[in-house]
Amino acid sequence: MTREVNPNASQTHRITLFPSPDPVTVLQQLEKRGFKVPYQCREGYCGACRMVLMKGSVDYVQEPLAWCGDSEILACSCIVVVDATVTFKA
Amino acid sequence: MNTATISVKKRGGRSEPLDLDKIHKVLNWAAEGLDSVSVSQVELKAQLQLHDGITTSDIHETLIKAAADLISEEYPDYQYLAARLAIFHLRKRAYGQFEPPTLRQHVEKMVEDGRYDAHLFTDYSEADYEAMEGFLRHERDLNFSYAAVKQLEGKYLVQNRVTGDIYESPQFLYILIAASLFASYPNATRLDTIQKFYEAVSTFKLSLPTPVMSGVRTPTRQFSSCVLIESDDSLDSINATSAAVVRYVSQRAGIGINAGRIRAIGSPIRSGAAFHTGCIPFYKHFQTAVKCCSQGGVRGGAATLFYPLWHLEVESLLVLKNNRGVEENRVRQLDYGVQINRLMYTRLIKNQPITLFSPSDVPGLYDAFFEDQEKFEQLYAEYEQRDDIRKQQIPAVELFSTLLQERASTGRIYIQNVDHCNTHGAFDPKQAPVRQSNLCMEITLPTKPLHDINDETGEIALCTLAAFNLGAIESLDELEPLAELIVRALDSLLDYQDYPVKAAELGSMKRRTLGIGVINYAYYLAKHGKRYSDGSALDLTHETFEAIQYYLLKASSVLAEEVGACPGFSETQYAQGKLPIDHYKKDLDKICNTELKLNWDDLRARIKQHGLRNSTLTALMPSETSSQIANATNGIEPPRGLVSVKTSKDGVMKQVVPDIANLRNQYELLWQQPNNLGYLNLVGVMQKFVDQSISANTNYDPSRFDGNKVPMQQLINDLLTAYKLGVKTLYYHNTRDGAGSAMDDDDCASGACKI
Amino acid sequence: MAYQTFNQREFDTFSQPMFFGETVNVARYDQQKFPIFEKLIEKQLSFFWRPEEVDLTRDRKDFIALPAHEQHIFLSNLKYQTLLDSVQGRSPNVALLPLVSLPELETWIETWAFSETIHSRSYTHIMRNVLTEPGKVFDDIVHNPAIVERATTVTRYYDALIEATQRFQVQTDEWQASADGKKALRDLKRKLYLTLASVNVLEAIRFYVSFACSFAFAERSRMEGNAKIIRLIARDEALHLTGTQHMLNLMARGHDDPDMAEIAEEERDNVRQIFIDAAEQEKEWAAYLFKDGSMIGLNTDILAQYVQHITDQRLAAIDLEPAFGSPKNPLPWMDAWLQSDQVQVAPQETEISTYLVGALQSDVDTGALEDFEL
Repeated sequence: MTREVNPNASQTHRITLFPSPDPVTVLQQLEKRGFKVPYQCREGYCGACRMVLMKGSVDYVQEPLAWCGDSEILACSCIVVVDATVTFKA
Repeated sequence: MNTATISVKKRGGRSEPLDLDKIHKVLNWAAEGLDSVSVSQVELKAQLQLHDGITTSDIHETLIKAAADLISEEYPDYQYLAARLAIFHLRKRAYGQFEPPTLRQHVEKMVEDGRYDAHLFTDYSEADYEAMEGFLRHERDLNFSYAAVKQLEGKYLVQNRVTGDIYESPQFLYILIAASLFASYPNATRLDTIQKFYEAVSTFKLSLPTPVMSGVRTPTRQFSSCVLIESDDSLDSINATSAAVVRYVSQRAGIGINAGRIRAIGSPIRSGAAFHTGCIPFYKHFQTAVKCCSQGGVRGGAATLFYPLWHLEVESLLVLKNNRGVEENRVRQLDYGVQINRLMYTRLIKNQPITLFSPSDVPGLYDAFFEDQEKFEQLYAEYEQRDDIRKQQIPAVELFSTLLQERASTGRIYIQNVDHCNTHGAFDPKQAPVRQSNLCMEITLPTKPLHDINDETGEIALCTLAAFNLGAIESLDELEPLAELIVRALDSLLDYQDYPVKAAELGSMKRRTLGIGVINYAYYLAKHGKRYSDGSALDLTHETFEAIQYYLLKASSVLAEEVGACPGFSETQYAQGKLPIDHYKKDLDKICNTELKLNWDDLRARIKQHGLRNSTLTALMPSETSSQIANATNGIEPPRGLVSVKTSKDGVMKQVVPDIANLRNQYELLWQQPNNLGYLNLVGVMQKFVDQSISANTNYDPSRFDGNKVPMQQLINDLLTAYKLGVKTLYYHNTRDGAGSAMDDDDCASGACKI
Repeated sequence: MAYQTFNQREFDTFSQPMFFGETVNVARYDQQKFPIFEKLIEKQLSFFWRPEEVDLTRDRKDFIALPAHEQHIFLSNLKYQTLLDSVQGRSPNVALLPLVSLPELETWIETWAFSETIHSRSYTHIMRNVLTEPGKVFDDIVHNPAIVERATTVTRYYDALIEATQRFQVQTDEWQASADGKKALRDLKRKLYLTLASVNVLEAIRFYVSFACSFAFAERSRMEGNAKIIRLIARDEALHLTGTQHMLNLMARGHDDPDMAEIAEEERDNVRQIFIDAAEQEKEWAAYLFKDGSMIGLNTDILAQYVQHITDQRLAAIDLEPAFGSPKNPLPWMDAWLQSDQVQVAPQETEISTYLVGALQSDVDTGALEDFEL
């Protein structure tokens, strides 16, 4: 059987999000816009939705347990406070 | 991938190259008329999973799975695409082709194979079958959502559970349920009734429970969803109880077991010839009985066991379900219903102790607990003073804290306010006291212990359930004809079904109890722009449940006029002219004083004159499976998310709330509600009309409290509030175990959510 | 210096690194250098569960009805997981506790290892329920070449670290202070770092092949009791992974022992290679699993893509370059199984998979109840 494997690579996206009147998380905002952002626990302990915050600011609605570098955020646990640009793979 | 090199294994074992055109064709057919679905997306998603030597059937399942994976808040229509593919596949499996056979051919074959009840064939003529064929609408199969098809496949359709073969498609199921139930109606009217009933169920206005959906039309004839069995405090009765449990568990029913009379550990037996081993070994015995049959793969055996809060062993009983302790002192696979009355709550608020007794040591107390609250208080006080009776005192606040702690950590220790169940129930507590509830806490019916399995003096209570789909009705007037149909159908069912235990048949024939509830309440509220938490739904709820109870009572009295009241009617409060609206807890008026809208005086007079065919009419049950079939929200519960992922025995499924496109922002989701108060108020309003009970849940989100811990004080307050509003039973205690995607609720502590 | 059960020297906890500082003395948690570990402990405790809560009677029937190649897939995964958790239930205690210097980290390691023992008990529970002769399956674990090969890779780093630690700790204080001693310590630190990296790989990648198979069975309504248990295990493992990532990142980013930061820099390529090797090994394992036939939704290719996807994601989590071009997740249905909040449990029809204990604040002000009118 010969088969070509579909490369199917994820792409890096750079997206700017705005503070929302509904209190939705960064992860939810991205999902609403159709991005399949990797996630697992959605409770801030697995780290699957870690992404880079390029500019703007976010606030955490629950204290995350997963590792998070200086310019990184956990999308499942924070909301946008000031227009926030994030980069992630999906 | 290079699909040309993939070969497909056909049914006969032959191979042929994969023909993508066939796949395109099926997908295009399934996508017709749907919004925002991409056929190519489904194909792309499925392609990695196609491999050499794959079977046609696997290709189909791969496509279904691919479409189902794409269901989301943004693209809800994939649920219909997946559903149509699943229906296509299902019909192919059942009939070898998409077109179903004629109804008569189908029934003939199924009866021959022994899969349908032979009566179906003898009860109706060829002309009858033609008439039914005339109003059968197979195209309605395509209105199901994906979750619905999966549930039908998993639970309802007649199939061989060993080989996985399927033998019927959904519309046959609906029409044959109607034909089975109304077979004994007069020839002149029965086709008309069958058509009306078929219309109502196949358009999801009426929802039927699992035993009916999977069983009526087959040779199996046991359809009661819930069974209530009471045990006495004797070995014979305990054995009879477990024998009855086994018979009913094997017939797919959920069980309520009242074990509250069993004496406490160390009680003398035969005047002290031996010491009693206490409750736990017998509870274990019941657990074994419940778990011994897997119910043909349809439902796992399950039971809720009841005991009073003042039982001497209560401290060991409350912890039976938790995951500490060892096998010997835990009975984890049962759920528990703890019975409470006003006196217990009074001790709590006055910060006094509760005295625990073994029911065997305090004659009359256990009976009075249900029959006569005044007598109970008097006896209880007397026994507390006596020095010659074994007893133990414990501060009420400690006991309630343990109860609520265990309820919180297991989620499955329930509450039954036994005084409300009797004073505000359908029955006269002096003649027919209610001493227990059922598995899901919405049924409150009288029982009597059996002393052997054939004992005709005992009484096992059965309840036959169904529900109105509130989302499918345009006006409350529609409830009147629907109420008549469902009362007729369920009442027929009582005569049509078999009774594995005599005491159940006697009880059912005497009381003919029904429990009709609702599904899709959350959608109903959203559609009307009402919310759970802010009181805006109180009027609508009052009006709606008033109409439900009114039309059901009316239907039952019409039926009584036709064929006679049930023989046990004299033991109901209805017989004394007392309707639910007469004896509800008046504290409810403080939160909702909506006026009654219907002519209750007429109805009362009618009931007085003709009686009721059924001793009870209403009960609000949880509705997982049937609401998935109707694509409705669960019972009276708020959804947890606009798209929810559900696990059940049939795996993980995504379900989208009804009419998400228009109502996205009108739904008030579970964790958006700040507390339980709004919900409990609504449950109180419903309970005003419901003659049995309501599977009401309490929900807690630790993140709303200091230190992420739910205060015990809050749990106690909610419990007391429920009692105050006349709520009879509390079912699940749900704790939000993470912020998850429904985090959108929160008016979070940082204030950052407000822009 | 030898390990001291109770270290009587006075020192400042906050000046201690995670490992190789003063041995821990008082088990106090009021002051913590890295409070994250305390939070992980709390979370892990709140997750507490036991396998007996899950009813497996239907799984037995399901298993008997599975075709032989699917039974092979199921049992092979179970064997492999049994092995991984046997290692993980034991090794963190043996290898890491003698070196640890912070009380909160010490307890985290113990809590972590304890939860792995629950997982081991689960596999016994599953096998006992599903098989008539579980003994044979357990016996095969140490004889099966496909499993043993991976086991060796997993345990190699642990064994090297344990041996080196034992050698080092019997040396005199004078020797340890000498140039040779310092060199040995540096080497020991390197071994620790590589061990943590290899543990990270185990938690981050190796478990997930098995998880995918378990959930794929359950997606088809087979072996659902098993899937419920695996789901609880997956929840724990995600937390353990986070714990290890914290250790690695604290070291690599210089928040801890400066030696460790240097070592992390020196070992970047090696660590990345450990990930790649593990991914390749897991891909071979996938081929072994499906050697007699694949199952709906899973085959060698798709599982290989999943391994690559998850490997790249885990590499990024510890600041390393992706190795496989970051492929997308080919198994989106895994998400539903790996998440707990949105799961609606059908009343009575499914066991609630999450008991949360310790989430109540138990004080009651009885005075406040006094005025309640019933």
